[in-house]
Amino acid sequence: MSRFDQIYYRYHRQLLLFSLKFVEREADALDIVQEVFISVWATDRLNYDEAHLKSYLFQATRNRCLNYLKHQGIMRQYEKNAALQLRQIELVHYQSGEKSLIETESVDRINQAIESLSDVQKEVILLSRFDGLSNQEIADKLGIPVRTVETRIFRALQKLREKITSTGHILLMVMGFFRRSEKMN
Amino acid sequence: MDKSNDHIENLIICYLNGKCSEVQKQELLDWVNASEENKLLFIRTKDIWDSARQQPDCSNEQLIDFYRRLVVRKEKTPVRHLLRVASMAAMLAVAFVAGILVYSYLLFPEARQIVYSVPLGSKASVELSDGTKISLNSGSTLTYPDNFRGKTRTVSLTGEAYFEVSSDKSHPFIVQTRHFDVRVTGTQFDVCAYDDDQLASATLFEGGVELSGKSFGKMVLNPGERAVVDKINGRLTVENADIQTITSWKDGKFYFKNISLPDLIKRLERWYDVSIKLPERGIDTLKYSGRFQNQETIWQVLDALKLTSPIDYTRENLREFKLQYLPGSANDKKR
Repeated sequence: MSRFDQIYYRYHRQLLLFSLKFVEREADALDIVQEVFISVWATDRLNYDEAHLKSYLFQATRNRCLNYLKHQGIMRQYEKNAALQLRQIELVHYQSGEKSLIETESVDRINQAIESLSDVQKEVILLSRFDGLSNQEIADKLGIPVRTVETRIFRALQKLREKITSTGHILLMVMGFFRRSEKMN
Repeated sequence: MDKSNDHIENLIICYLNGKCSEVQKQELLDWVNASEENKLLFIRTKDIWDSARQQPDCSNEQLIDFYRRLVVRKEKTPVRHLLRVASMAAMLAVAFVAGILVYSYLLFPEARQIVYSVPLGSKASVELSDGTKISLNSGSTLTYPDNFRGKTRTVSLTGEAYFEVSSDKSHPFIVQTRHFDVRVTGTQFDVCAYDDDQLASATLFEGGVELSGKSFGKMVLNPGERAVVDKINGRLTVENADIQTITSWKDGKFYFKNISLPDLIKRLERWYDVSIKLPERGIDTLKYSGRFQNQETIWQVLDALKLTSPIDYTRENLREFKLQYLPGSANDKKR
């Protein structure tokens, strides 16, 4: 297998997941990832060391997603589009240094963290993220109000993040929020 | 975060689930903008949600698709492929224009979008509500509002057009194409962006324009310069423009300089509203320059090609021609 193919197989899924954070249409996200790979194909970027190459790939993906969002912004200039703005805020945030879990963590580690959740939390996460059920569908299935489902998912996501990220004030802050929410229940 | 935590938690998850109303999205946006802490909580919650997304690995089929794209990029004559892409692109463009129309009717019933299409074989000119004059070449479509409102004057184009934009510094004039946008305040320029051409270009005659495109970001064009975007690899090149050649079409003349046979044929097809089939191979190196006054018939033009290059033609139907490559003919040496 060529060096290029190895890199392609290693990073394709990650870069696609990362693009899908900002680009709603899967076909567009796939296009963006192909363009990113074209930018390393047959160039000496292939000889970068692993860390350098990975950070180049994510940076190139970010830039293309940002251009895409800007283009969407031009197309919908008359529309006050909150979702588009939320995506832009998020993308700009990742340009300022913090890395997405998609970039830093392996699928295995995320799956392990999901496995270690309590049964109640694991249930909603699996139904939502793996079976692709909507919150309403989960509520119907479990016979609980949709707001309860949403709250459970939110708590489960915070718990996951807590398990995955190791230390630091980020975690403390999220936990602080989490505890306060717990008390209110 | 005084608004009950529960409420915000529900709102975030509802948004991630894609079931939020516009009002709820706006509420979430306002909350995210309210503090750095809110923003981080939103971004990090969404990040874990996104990273747990069930996304089947499609890298195998995508790698094959990747190599297929490369092959198209390398072939010198991706004409038939391009035509297929072009027909899809045309369908998309129609859907897109229709979408804009429906959209603008829904939101701005008073700002009506006008779609102006010039048939193959003819040319037209349009004057907009702000006094801007536009000449349109064969087979072009211009979409513009009956009245400009808002901060910019925006039109969209597929095909070729020559713009004389009336000056208004506070309301930039924007030409959107599928491959780049041109932004000006008042100036004269030509945009050529046919869906079935590999290259799209913008040429500036007077004033200043800013070009922006997905593949190259932003660049400023100076008078006398022509920017050319290759749609296949996204590459942008800037060259000195041959003004006379580029604007000849709007005076009913047909000048061309150092262009490939496929490019020439596409222009002839638009100009004369005919269909011309290219030979499969042997045409990569052929380059043409020439001047026609548009008095000639398509027969005379094809005869001229026949005399100057190793190709012959046959007529297949009323408006259909087919070219053949004749390697090693006397014509080949003459060139």
